[in-house]
Amino acid sequence: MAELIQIASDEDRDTFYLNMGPQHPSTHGVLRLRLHLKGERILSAEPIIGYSHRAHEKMAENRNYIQFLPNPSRVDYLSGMIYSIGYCQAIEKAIGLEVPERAEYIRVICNELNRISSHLLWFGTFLLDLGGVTPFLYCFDDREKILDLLDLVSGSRLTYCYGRFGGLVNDVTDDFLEGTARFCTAFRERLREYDRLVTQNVIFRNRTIGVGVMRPELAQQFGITGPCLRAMGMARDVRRDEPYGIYDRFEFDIPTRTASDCFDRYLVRIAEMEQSMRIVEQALAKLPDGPIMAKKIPRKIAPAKGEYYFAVESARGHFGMFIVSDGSEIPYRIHLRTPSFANLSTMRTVLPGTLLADTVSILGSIDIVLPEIDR
Amino acid sequence: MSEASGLAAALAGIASLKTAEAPDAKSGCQGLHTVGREAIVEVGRVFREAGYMLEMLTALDMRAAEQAMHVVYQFNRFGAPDRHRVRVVVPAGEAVPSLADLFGSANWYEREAFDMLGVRFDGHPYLVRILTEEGADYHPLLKDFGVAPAAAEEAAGG
Repeated sequence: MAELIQIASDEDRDTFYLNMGPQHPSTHGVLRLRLHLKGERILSAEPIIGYSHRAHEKMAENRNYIQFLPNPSRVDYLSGMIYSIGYCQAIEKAIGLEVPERAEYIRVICNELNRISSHLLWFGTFLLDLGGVTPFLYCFDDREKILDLLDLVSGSRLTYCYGRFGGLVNDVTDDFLEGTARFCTAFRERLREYDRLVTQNVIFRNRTIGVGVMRPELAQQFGITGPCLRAMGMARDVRRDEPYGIYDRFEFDIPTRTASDCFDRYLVRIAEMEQSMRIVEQALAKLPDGPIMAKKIPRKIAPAKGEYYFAVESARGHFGMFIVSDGSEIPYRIHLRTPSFANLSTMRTVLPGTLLADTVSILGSIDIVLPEIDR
Repeated sequence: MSEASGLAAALAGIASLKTAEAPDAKSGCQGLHTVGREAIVEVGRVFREAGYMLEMLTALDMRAAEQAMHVVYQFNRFGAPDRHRVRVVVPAGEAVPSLADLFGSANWYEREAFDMLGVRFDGHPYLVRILTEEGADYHPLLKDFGVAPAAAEEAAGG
């Protein structure tokens, strides 16, 4: 305990250091914040990470490209589908493999369902952090429906390994398609219900409006991406800026807000769920028949010697894979550029000057997933 | 002068910067450069003034082939991608100037490269391990650091 709370110095006896985490429930996993406080006011903050480092990048160097397939979804277990399919797309681009139309559409449906489930979990736990227990139960009810749908096609609830180089492992069933359509109809109504339940709530508004403002210059300084960036008024989204897969065929808006506080980050994510649903519905309507795996898949997956970079938009922002190949079947190096790593590093700048109690709203609002940061 | 040609002109003014011929679309980059380590801060400044962010920073262990480490910087702007990958080749064991004063994100990226691959960054305000435990004496992403038991077994013919 002696280490946990210490007096800073003799001259400044009213300031002290406080460790928040790594077991604090509002740190969403295992993040530790070393806060220097004067009363309730934060003087400086240093996030300390690495508690769930599982050496995914080292694992990549010890197995071939196919054996690495289950790993990406474990990097970010909340948007595992996006990571796993993103990895497939990265390798497909590197070796020049075409994916059948049907598989492309199914990938989009699953990615967007995954994005909604990730945002739902964020929404529920964010409200829980702020003291609202009810929305959490509603969100998990809806999220459960998505997990069931994705379970139906991929066989897992969180750490999906649904993509394959050249397509997908299973075709979707009619149950899945009908279930997805039903979910979309029901979820529209639920979103309105959430809005009535939360958005106008005075406690919620007081704890989020004007809290945790990220100044616009931080975007460039720290490379902020995802909903945090869009809450700064910048309509930037990898799906639009450098479309991968078939994202250029869908109509969707990029919701933005301008105040860049916790409340705006909340509104952006809510609006994104609506847009994801629009994409799912378009994809369901256009879903073609046909095979789900490319016909000719090389027996050996070995990209030509060189360096490749491929980015996708995860639920938290720009997820990039930097792949270095020496021409063999085993990657020379895979570096994963994860969005929350950059987003969380802004906390050293954003937290000083705020109140200790607001730390919970601010941390919650950037939607960190620690395993994704630690890799 | 457009933003892009202004950037190209500023980069051309850096003596040790070599730009590769039109990069392959597969590389995911619009520009590939190599620069001497003494000029990396200047390169960083050029990109920052052009409104680019430091999207990624990592290192590669190339000691087996070239007795050197490669530090890879990737700059990108917001919007339509204009991604530039800048490479600094540094003899193993030597340091690279830090970009932490220019980009907030460099602070953690450089700590990670140091932690994982042992690359030192001169002028970094707080170059300590970030992902592995304090006081560790290894850099896990170096090629000579541990091999998974299965791979070792295979190599031994088992």
